[in-house]
Amino acid sequence: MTEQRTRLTGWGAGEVETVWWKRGRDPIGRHTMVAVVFGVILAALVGAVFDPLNLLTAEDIRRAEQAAYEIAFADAEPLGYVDGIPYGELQYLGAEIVAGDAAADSAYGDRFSDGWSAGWNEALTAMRQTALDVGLPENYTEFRVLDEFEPR
Amino acid sequence: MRWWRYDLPRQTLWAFMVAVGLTAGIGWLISALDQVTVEEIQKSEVRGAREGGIDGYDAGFERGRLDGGGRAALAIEQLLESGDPQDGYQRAYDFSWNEAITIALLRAKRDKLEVASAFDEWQALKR
Repeated sequence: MTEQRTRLTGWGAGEVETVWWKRGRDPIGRHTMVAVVFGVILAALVGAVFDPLNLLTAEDIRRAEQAAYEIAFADAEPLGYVDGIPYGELQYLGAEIVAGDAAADSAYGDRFSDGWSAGWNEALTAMRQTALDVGLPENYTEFRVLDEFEPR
Repeated sequence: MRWWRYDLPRQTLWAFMVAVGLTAGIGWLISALDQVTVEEIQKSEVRGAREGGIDGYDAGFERGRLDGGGRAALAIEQLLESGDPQDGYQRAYDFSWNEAITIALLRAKRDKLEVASAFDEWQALKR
């Protein structure tokens, strides 16, 4: 069965009447190559689909982070929306009434402008006083930041 | 096992099994070198939850801010004509108050070099 193992051509030429698997070894290695290719493909497919080794890898880190991100995103978005509505309303009113001229001859507009300035200025004062109460030295960042603010 | 007596089936099956084994071995090696601990997975979940919470809140806030601006645009005429001035004062006051604290906190946290801070106290001032 193995007489032709050293021949590179004409494998099975003298055994054409014999079924392929009964012939001698294939010196060219065609069957071996096909078997190797199928073996690699099968192992790779099984590994990719069924993950039989089931080791935790960097890919699992990415998946876990992405899943946690999506859950937290969906939970936090409605909260942000609820907080954003009044902010957007006041921001728009401030831009129109204080920065624009929509408040002319309006008691509401006048008082709105007063509150706009008073809230800002008194917050700066309160923050400075709080920093002093905490006992921070006057060269600390808090004071430098507050010094950069312009009163309204 | 009569077919096993022949060279070619034996040779082919061996090649197939060696290929499967080698591929599985290489796959295992790659996975093992890339292996992480359960603790790292848990950390990544915490990181993802934190970033998702921040991004989700920001995205929702931005959507709400735009919607709020739209609502205010529809209501501004009526507010200026017949809105309660004291209510307007209070709303503007609170908004500016909180805005000043938010901006101050952002800038101070960005520039902070010292250990001691008044950040918690400033945060508590918010209305």
